[in-house]
Amino acid sequence: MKTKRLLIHILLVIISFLFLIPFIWIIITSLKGRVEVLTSYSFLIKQFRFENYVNAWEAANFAWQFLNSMIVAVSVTIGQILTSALAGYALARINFRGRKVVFMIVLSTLIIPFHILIVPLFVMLSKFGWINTYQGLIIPMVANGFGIFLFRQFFIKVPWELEEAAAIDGAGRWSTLWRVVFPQVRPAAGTLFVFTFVAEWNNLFKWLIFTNSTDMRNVQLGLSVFQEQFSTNYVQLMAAVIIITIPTLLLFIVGQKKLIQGISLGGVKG
Amino acid sequence: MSKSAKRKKWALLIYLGPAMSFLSVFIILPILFLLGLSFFKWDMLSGIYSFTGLSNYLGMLKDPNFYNALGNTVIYVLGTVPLGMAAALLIAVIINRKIRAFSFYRTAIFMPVIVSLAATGIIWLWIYDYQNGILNHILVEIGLGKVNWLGNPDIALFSVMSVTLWKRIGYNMVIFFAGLQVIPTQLYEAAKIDGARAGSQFKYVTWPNLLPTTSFVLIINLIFAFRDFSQIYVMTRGGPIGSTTTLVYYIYETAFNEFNIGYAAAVSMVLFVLVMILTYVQINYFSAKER
Repeated sequence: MKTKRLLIHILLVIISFLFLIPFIWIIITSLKGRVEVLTSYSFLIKQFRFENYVNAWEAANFAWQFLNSMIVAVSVTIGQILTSALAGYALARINFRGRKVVFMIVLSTLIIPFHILIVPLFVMLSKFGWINTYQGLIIPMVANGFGIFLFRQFFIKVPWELEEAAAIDGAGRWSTLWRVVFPQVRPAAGTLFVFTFVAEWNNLFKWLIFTNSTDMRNVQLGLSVFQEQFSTNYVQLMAAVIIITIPTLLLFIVGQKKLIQGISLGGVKG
Repeated sequence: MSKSAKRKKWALLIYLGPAMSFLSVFIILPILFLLGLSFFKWDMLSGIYSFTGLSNYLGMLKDPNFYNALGNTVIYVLGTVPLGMAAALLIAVIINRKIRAFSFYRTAIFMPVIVSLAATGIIWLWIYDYQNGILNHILVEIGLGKVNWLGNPDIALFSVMSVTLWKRIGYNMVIFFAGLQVIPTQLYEAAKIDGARAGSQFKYVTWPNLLPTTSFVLIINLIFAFRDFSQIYVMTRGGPIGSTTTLVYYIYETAFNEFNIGYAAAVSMVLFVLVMILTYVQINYFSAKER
C-alpha cells in the first residue's frame, strides 16, 4: 500500500512538472537580462534582475488596467452565474413544451467562435454607442450557453425529494431554488465562477475590437507596450505576465480549497 | 387558462427570459446575420456586394482548401477530445482528496488555463524552436536528430494539438472535480460496507453518478475542439502550407485576410450545422440515461 501511494505521488510530481515547465521558463525569463534572453534559451540565470518587475509595472501603467479588468470580469461573472442558474434550473426542472428545442438553441450559441461573430457584434455595439464603454464589454457576455448547460447538468441530479420537502413547508419555486437546490450544486457555481473570471481576465480580442482609447485597456492589452517597434522586451513582458496572473492564481487556490470538501472514501485508497 | 398553467408561463419567463434575451440579441442575431451574408458576395475592401444565392455553398464543394481544413479539423478533434477527457478523469479521480500535496498537483495542472495563451504561446514557440528550442536540445543530447516541430507540415498539427491537450486536461479536470463533489458520500460508504474495492466503487458509484458531468465534458469538448482558434493563431497561423488550418482558422483567414466575407459566412454555416448534428445526437443519447 505504501509503495503504491509513493508511486502515485512520484507520477503526479512528474506530471505536474510537465505542466509547469512553460511557467518555470516564464519565471526564469522574467529574471534574466534583456540581451541574455536573446542570446540563449538556457534555464540558467547569469544574474538575477528583480528590477524587471518594477520596470514592468511602471512601463505598463497597470493600476488603471487592473481596475478595468476587475470591473468587467466581476460583473460578467456574477451576471453569468445568475442568468445561467435560472435558465439551467428551468431546463432541468420545469416541464414545458419545446424544452428540448430551447436546450438545443442554448447549445447552438456555443458553436460559432467569438472571433467570427465579431463583425456583426461590432456593428451592433457601434449603433448602440457602446464602443469604449463598460456596458459594451459587459452586457454582451452576461449570458452564456456554457453556464446554462453546466447548471442544467448539475440540477438534474439534485434529488426531487428536497424540492418536495420544501414545497410541503410552503416554499415557492423561487426560494426553493436559491435556498435548497442551488446550495446543492455549489461546486458547479464555483467552477463557473473560476472559469468565467479567468476567461474574462485573459480576454484580449474583445478589448482589442470594442475599445480604442488608452483609458479603456485591460491587463492583456497592457502587455502590448512591451512589443516595441522592432523588438519585444521579453524580460519585462514575462515579469508583467506573472504580475497579471497573480489575481487569477489566487482565485483558483482559494476556490479549490472551498470546492474540495474532502471526500475521503472515493478514489484510490492509500 | 388554469391557474397553474398561468403560473408556469410566468415562471418560464422569469427563469429563461434573462438568459434567452441576452443570447438572442448578442449571439443568435449575429449568427442569423452570418446566415444572410452567406448568400451574398461581399468584398469588404470595395464595399460592393451582390446576392449570389447558393454559389458560396456550391463553391465550397469544389474548394480543395475547404476539404483540407475539414480533414485537419477531424484529426484535431479526434486527437484531442478522447485523450483530453480520459486523462482529466483519471487525474481527477485520483487526486479528489483533501491532501495538501494534491492541492499542489491540481493547481499545477490547472495553470495552463490560468495563464493567457498570449503569454504561454511565446514560450511554446521557444520550446518548439528548431535551432535553439529546448525540445530539440534534449533530442540532440540523447543522440537523436532535430525535429522541425512547427515547420514540418506532417508534424505541425500534432505539435499544436499537444498544446491544446496541455491546456484542456486541467480544464476538464476541474469540471470533473465539481461533478465528483456532488456525489453523495453515503453512496461510497454503502459501497464500502458491501466490500467494494476502488475499481468497483468507480464502476458502480462514481461512473453512473458522474454521467451528467461526463456528458457535459464530452459535448463541450467537441464544441471547443471544433472552434479552437487561439493556439493556431499564436503558433502557426494555419501553416506551414495549410497543414494546421482548421475550419475555424480557414473562416478567419477568408474573412480577414482575403476579405471574402460571404464565403467565410457560408463555411461558418457548414461548421454550425455539422457541430449541431453531432451535439443533437449526443443529447439524444444521454438525456434518457443521465436522470
